Amino acid sequence: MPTFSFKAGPTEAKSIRAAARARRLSVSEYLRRAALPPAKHGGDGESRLKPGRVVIHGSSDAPVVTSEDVAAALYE
Amino acid sequence: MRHLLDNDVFFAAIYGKHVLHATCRAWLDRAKPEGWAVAAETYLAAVRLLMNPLVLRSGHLTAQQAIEAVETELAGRHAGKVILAGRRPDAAVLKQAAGHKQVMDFWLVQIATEHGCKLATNDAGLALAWPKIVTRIS
Repeated sequence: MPTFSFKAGPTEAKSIRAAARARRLSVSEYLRRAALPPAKHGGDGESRLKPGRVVIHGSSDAPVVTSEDVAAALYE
Repeated sequence: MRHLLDNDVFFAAIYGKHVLHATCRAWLDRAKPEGWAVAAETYLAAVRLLMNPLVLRSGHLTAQQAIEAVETELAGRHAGKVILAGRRPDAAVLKQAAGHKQVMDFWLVQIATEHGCKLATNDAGLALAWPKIVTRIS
């Protein structure tokens, strides 16, 4: 998994940590959510939510996921 | 109720970018009239995955959207049930798990057994370990 690092001033760092803590998120999770805000129902692909049959098409930047990816996202 | 879906089958059915989406979607559409359910743990796993930016990237959902998606899948003419386990985890079942990733699978095997249904999975190893209780979809 790629790792990002970036510079922030002491005040910025304090604000980021405080904002993450206030939302009960890790700093990484907080920054991911800030950088990648949720799109309406699964991104730019047209998703279908019909009672009994939902298909979230996913955004164009989302990779195809495997069962192993699902397990890793849930359990690791 | 005949089918209990594991986390991967349920997520693959509703997420178009899962490599097994077409297979799981078609299977679920066929299986629904026979009666189907997910465990509360599987419901929550789907919500977690749909909200996860590492999985859905910029298309990840809010909690409200993810819950709406899962509830909408569970609705309809052949509505699915959400099962709460009636008993605490059975040590005799769980101690057979070979690693931490199998613990949830074996818990779902226990729930499927308790409710007299078959666990639908994409996991060949799980199907091999519990042939009478598990149905392999892909």
